[in-house]
Amino acid sequence: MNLNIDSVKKRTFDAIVVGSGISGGWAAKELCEKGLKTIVLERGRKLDHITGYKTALMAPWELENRNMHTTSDKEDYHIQSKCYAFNDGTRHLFVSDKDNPYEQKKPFDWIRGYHVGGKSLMWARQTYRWSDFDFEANAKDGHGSDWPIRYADIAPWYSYVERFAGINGNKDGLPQIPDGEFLPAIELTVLEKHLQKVIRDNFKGMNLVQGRSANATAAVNGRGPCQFRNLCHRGCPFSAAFASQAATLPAAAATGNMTLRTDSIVHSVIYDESKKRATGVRVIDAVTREMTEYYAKVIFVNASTVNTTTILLNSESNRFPDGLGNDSGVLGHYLMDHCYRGRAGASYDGFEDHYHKGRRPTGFYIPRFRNILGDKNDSFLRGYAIGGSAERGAAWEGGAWQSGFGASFKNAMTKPGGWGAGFHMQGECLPRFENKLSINKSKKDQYGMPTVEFDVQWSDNEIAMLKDGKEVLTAILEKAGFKNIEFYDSNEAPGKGIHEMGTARMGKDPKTSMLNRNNQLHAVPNVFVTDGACMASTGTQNPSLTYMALTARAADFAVNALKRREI
Amino acid sequence: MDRRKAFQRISILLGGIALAPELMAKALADSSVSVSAAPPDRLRLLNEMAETIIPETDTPGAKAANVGEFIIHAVETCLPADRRRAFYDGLDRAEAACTSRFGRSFADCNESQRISFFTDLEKQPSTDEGMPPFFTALKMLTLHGYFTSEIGATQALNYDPVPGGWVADMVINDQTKAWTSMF
Repeated sequence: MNLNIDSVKKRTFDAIVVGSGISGGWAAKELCEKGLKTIVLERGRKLDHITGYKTALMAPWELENRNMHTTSDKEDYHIQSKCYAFNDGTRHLFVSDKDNPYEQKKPFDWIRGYHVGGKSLMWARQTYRWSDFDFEANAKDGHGSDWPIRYADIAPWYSYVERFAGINGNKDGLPQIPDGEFLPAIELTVLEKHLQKVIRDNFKGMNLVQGRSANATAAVNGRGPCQFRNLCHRGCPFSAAFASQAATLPAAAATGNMTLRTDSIVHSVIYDESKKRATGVRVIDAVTREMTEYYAKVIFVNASTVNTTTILLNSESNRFPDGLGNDSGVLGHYLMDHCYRGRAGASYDGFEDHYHKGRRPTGFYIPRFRNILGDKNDSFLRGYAIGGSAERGAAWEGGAWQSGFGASFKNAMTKPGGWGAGFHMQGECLPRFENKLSINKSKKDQYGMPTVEFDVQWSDNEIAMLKDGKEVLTAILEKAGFKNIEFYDSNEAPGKGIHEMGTARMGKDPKTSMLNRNNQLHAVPNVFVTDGACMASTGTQNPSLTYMALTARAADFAVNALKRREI
Repeated sequence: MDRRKAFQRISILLGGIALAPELMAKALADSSVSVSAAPPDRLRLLNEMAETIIPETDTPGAKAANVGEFIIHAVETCLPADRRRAFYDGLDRAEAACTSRFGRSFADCNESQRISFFTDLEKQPSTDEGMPPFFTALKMLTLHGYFTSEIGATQALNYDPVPGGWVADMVINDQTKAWTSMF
């Protein structure tokens, strides 16, 4: 009996954080720094900062396939290998699709990394604040639940997380991407400056700015500075690229309050009907397959959008037969992703005697300009941003299509290539009830978790933006004197934007949403969700900075609520 | 930028090495094809062909960088079965044509014979629908193999593994070498 009590005691903490990715890392840091004994449960393997980055310093010739995809990638990683960051240097950071199957009623590319830090290691680190154009969008056009917060609620938390994370950029004075606490900007190339001027002078309402990114361009909290290798996806040995194990997890560990348990797949949240609270989680050990329970007063579910909702759906009780806190029936619904289908490329003759040195971890960004600030486009609701870069590559990269061989050909191949620019649209995705994920309890994965089934497709609204994007980009590139202008539709499935959002959305009304303004489950106040699952809309900006800010804000609320004995 | 850059690379690969999705699916379905065992003279032949494309000049050439070995690895490991077959068929046809024209393997031809042969080969269109011509595929693999080898990356190009900073604009002249692509 005493043994049993001891065992329960050892498995009891003040707080549980499920997941160690971008939002889980922040939850761990904030809760630990505020004095809570916290266990962080990571489903994947241990992956230590720096020493775990086995490819970080590899030269091109040291990579097994010199960065080419292999035929076995197309079998073992047939979904993951579609990701822009999947290559010879990062293959080990992506899950095997063979070992981690899921169902697709319609195509959905689910990109995953199961290790400490999750996708915070492989993300593109683009970091923009949202504005009230985004937080008010649902209320204005009636699609989706009204956000229960506005920019003023989150602005101080954006500042708080930016100061710690280290975000580079310029103060651009644009209301749709409010300025923040920035580290030194990364200067645009000569061709980008040319493009910037052409846009400023000829396209009212549009602006080209430096893409703000979570790379420490100056030392911040002992991290960085950035060495401009642009190999961030392999893990940054200079700690300049933001990742959980580079930034938030060490801060959490430094308090002495964090316990990090890897290979720990959370099966479900335990709900106590008499207390009307969650009391802990059930964990499947990924190695032994044994189930263990952990207990805490407060639980942050930050397993990433799809897995967070899978856990909630899998948390059945008499009170919640359809998933924890799912009184509204919206759990799993309103799955969204940014629509990156619109792409363009063009070449530029000129600036032959100009080049650049170093490799930037970012490019340029054209924030949303449609249907805001006096613009009105009747063919679609909301808008899109455009990201990209304009640089010189190396001549040899396109050399196979040039004629010739021998000494003079070789000499030409050693030179810089011409200038070129690439663009991708980043379209807002409307929240739609029909776009959903569900779990199949009769079909379990190797760990005994139900498999996920996706039923998601782009709507006419996202597709209508492509036509506008083509016209806008073509007009800009023609005006700026570009050649070989090509616009095309990548026709990629939802998911590949890796900005999967929604499925446990925030809202004012418990009848139509899962979470309140503090990211608490309406019906279970000691359970918080602050990853992409909580999002009520997508905005046009990359979402991770908003996850960080929402997490820090919710953790602050949770600790105060605990002190007031409200939860 | 990461996305754009990745896309640029992928489109390069799509043109030369990787395959259109529908062809890929077809190739993957064809599991009856076993990995071809490379004949011993294939390495020598590919190294000589690659050297003719990227010869030794003031920097070592493709042969010194053992580009032939990279080509065989890439063909065996990275090309789906039908692309692999098309490449080896193209190689066999080229070698047969060279032997019938000069009475010897390409690897044993002198420089003027090689130049003459490649000049003609470069003009030949693809023999397989949906595939790049053999010479284009050979060139693609040669360039990739050479400029990602230690010799090519550090001697033929400007290798800058840890730039330490970003210079957005630097003036160059016609002697300036490209930075080594680091992926």
